[in-house]
Amino acid sequence: MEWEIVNVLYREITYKRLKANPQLSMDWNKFMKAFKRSGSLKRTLLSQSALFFFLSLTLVPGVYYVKNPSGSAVIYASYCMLPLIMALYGTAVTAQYAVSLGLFEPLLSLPVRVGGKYLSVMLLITQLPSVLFLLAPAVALSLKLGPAAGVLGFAWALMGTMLGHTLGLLIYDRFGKASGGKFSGLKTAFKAFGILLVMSLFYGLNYLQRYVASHYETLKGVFERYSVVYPFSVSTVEKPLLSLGLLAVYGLVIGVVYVSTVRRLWRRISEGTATERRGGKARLSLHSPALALALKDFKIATRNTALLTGLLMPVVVIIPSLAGALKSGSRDSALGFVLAVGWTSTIAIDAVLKIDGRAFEVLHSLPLNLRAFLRGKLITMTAVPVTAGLLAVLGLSLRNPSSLKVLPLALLLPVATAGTTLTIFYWGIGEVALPQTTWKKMLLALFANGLIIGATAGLWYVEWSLSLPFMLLVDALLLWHLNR
Amino acid sequence: MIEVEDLFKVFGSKTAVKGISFTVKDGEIYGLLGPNGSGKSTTLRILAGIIPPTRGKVLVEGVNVAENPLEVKRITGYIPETPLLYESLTPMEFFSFVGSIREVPRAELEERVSRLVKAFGIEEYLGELIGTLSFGTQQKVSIIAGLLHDPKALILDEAINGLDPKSARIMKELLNRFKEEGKSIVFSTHILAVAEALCDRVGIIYNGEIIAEGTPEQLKEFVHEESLEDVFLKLTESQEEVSSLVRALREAF
Repeated sequence: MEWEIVNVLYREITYKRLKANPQLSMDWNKFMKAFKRSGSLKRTLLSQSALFFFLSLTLVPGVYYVKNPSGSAVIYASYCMLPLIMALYGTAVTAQYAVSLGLFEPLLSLPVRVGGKYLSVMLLITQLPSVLFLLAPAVALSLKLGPAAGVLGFAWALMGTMLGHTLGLLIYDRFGKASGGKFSGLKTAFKAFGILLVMSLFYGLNYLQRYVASHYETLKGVFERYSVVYPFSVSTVEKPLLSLGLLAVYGLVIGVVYVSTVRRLWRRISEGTATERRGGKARLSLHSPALALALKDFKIATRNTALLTGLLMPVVVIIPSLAGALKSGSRDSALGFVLAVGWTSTIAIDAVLKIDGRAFEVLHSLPLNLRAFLRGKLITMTAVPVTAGLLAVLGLSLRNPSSLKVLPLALLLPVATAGTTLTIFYWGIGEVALPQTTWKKMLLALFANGLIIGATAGLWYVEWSLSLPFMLLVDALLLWHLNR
Repeated sequence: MIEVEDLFKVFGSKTAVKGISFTVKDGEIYGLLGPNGSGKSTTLRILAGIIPPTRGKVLVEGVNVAENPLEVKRITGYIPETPLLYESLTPMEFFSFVGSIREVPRAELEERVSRLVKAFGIEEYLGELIGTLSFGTQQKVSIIAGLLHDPKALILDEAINGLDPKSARIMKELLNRFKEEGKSIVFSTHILAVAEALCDRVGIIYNGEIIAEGTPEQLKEFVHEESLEDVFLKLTESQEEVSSLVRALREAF
């Protein structure tokens, strides 16, 4: 019965998530196909488990090929940050989403012994596959330090998930108000930071692996000193009794906090959420239709984690090229970074077209023409890449002032690539509508933008000042086309 | 004035609206009554310029809906049955957005929002996310958004249904005031008492066709019934069906 309820809740949250995607909800066949694919909890768990296990194989060399056996435990312990962060973030965000959808309301009137446990189990079960990310490294650990260390290592990974999940519930219970409230700006900043942290986790792990391997001697002392604190505590797997004792203490403390939090949370769900009132602060603000559309998009995106993730994706994709530019400090590496930013503007189209969700119908009822709509979407698409590009180039110029020559491109290139993408996706469409985001169109946009980026880079290397008039010309042509 | 002539709307293999014609004069309230799936909402969405007609002519204040839907959207106010809102915006943010798209001058917008917000009693909710508001409050936000630009014609699709008695009364007062100002108003409702009290003329739509039209009194006289509800049931051939359902229910309990 309990599995049935969790299954129904999972199907319902998946249904609503897919329904909120206008490109799916407007095409019934496409929607049903997507729903059949992701609506089954068993199927999702299996596919995610397979994916995480496959990814876990990439972590094996880091644990197995360390010269000093203790080094394996330290490196494994650093990997244990992953289940903690994923469970914490996944719980805090999805709990808010699930409750805001009214997912539990049908259960409230039924004679089932409902508790926050259904919310907790549904969230926890969907996060468990991420623990498999540590399975292959745990096997490597047992080959290196013995079977007990491997088993304890995997138990610590499970504990990390439980710790992250409990902290996530606690954070949602304490801060998960439905409305913006007094510190909504701060909350958005934290949310954006959390998204960037989770999305850049794989880069981080890669870096961590190399850092721990080269600074092992220094880190060993730190891990020993703080061996009570997770994830440092994981490195105690070399001393099985100590590790087991610590695991028991962690289990007890987390268990008590978990039970009390789940109870409190359920009271909150069943009694309804008291939302913060902002009353008198609400003020009218008028803008041009295009700017109003873009501002509306940002307000919606900053209040929806999935949308904010989509908008921030370009920033995450360019992290390695930013790291490269920071390391070398050369003007050309700054250009490389700006070209990467321009390239990633293309992928923002998907997130930008999802922002209106089911409320896209609102736009149909308003006297909004396609030109203003596209101008608004252009602002939304370019805001993040342009801001990231300008800030990064200004930062790089502190090290190498000649990097400032790249600054105009940081502004103009994302406009060109986003404008080209919009032109391709809206080709032949004469009114405010949602185009189909097919792979064919996406590949065409990537190819066209590849040509623009290639030409810009080519001109830069011939004579850097030539790239600027070229970019201005491309932007002018695109803006003229979008304004026609 | 709103003029509808031989209007057809086809969705795939289904004809939702089958050649209906009616006129709403300036300063007139016209009620479109019909059972679920009869074509009311489709007709009203065409009138608001949201979907194009398949065939026929629709003029709103002289503007052809098929030729210039944007202009029709500019001059009409459309309020749907299910509020069309962005749930993650606050009402004030939503009014700012709609006012910006409609390019309403700031002073006018501020004055209208302040008046309407006070009239519908939603001042305390202006800073909360729309998604957290009750259905009735969301409906009030939707109504205010539809009136922000002082539309020349008003199209309401079951818009009064979700309102509490006080707000329904305010809405009726507003409609009467718009009528006095010479605006054309079309609305659909299931609450026949509201239609009887408000409408100058009523059109009964059934299976995509208007099967009767006139003042509520004319219709009652025509089918020799006491109330508009009986007129509606008789004309839509539902009276016998409803009676047998009521009998079956009584037997069941």
